[in-house]
Amino acid sequence: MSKKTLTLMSKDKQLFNIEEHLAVQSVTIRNMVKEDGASSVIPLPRVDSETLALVIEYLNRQQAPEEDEDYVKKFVDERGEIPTLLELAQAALDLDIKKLMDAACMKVADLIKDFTLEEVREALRIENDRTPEEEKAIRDEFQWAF
Amino acid sequence: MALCYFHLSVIKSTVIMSTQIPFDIQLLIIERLPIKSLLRFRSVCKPWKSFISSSQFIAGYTTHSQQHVIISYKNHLDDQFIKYVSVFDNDHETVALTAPPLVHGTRVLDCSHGLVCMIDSFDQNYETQMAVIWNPAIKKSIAVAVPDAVDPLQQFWFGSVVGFGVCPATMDPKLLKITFTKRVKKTQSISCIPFQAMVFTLSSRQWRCLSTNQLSRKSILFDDACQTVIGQFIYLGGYDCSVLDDELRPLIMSFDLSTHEFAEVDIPSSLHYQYLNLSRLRESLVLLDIPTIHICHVWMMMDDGDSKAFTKLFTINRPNTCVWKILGFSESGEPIIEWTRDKMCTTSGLAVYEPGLGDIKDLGIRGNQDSFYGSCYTESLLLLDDEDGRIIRC
Repeated sequence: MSKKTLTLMSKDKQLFNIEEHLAVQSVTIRNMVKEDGASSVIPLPRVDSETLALVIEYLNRQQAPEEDEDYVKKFVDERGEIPTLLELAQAALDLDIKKLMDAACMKVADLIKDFTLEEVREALRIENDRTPEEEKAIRDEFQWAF
Repeated sequence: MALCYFHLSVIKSTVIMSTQIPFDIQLLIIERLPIKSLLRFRSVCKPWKSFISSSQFIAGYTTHSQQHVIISYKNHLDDQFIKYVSVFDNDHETVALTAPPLVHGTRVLDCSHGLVCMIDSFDQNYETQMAVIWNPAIKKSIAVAVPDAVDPLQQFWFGSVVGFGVCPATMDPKLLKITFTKRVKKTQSISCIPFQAMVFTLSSRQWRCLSTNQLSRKSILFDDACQTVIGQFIYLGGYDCSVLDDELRPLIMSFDLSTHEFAEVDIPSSLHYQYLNLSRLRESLVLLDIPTIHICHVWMMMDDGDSKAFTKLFTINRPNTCVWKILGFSESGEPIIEWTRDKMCTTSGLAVYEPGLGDIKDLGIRGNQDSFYGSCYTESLLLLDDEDGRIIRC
């Protein structure tokens, strides 16, 4: 019996094939397959093709379960750019791939933990919604941490 | 159904995506930041401040930082000030700690959910005994006066013990104070010696008396240096003095932080120990059994939900090694001990015992014998929304 293959479609309409038994590591895909098993192409309109290629590479990994923790850590380490990791975290969250989401967010946290406030805002595209006086008041409570 | 939901959430967030990272991703990243970054990043923007300061986040936050053992001790050769030190798992590195200046002369009582509880000893001339609840990771602390249960003139007849733990169900820090009769005459009826138990909850900032019927069936001399909190229970060691013709029989009481109920823990009757020492290894109760000089058995309570039974973990049997106390364990299960070379030594050292090899690694810290107190500690955010330096009087 040949293994069943699924086709995933990225935001920019690129098609990716993946064996079903690997794809269903994503809880989202598993539920979709369960509910409308016949659909041949699964659209993933929030995930761009570059990120989807990464996710597929991750899902296709051939690891013994005990090596898996190390693998997922290494996998995100090798893609250490914050924008890539954020896309990956978003895709892993949408597709409900817990380990990948966890590792990607952990890596971002690790990269930004020593950033200045301005660098954090830039990296995560957050707008500063406070006046300098308000910011200082909050900062003063834990001045030693700065 | 799943597909529909997926599309909906897609539409919602593509709009946001173009300007900023979706807030759910931001939250997942915040949760994984170390404490020092969290304190700084409260200033990133208003939503970050609200999220980090929310009681739900404070209660649920667990760090990936390693645990350490926090120890207090005195060294009369140096000066009489109490010193504080952290022993880390990594190469057993020791780092000196500065305790908050709220109350002087406090020793470590116990640690629970990132809070260190310290109490002052009776030889300090304070009017009332003080307990300090301290979060070293965020450098915040509060002091709580421990009420006197009995007339000061009667102190001679009474002893008291203070316990500490954070209730895991509510994450509310609690103090327990038990006052008990210290001197029992042989002729006295001792079947029903009164105890007074009081509980302080930080959320209410108040002490209240407990009904002590549950305790009164035994007369217990609690040991004020013998307690540890595990999960929802504070374990307190003491001696049963209802059996007067015998030598004092050690016993362990548990206090449930959720229900405020006491219970007695079954301990092996074969234990020889003359004094009690309780500590915790991961989430299990550990007690020391010292049959003779230079030999010390380490017992651990296995709790499988239905029954609690003690099994022997290992025995420390080395020439020129007297173990006085286990202060805490490294994550890999190596005890940090207070030890001397012989029984008559008045100066103790701090060391790590390696059960597999039977080796002792001295940490180079010396202090008065019996002045060492310690407990395992992991960081948390508790007290983040409390005012630093507050003193709560009775």
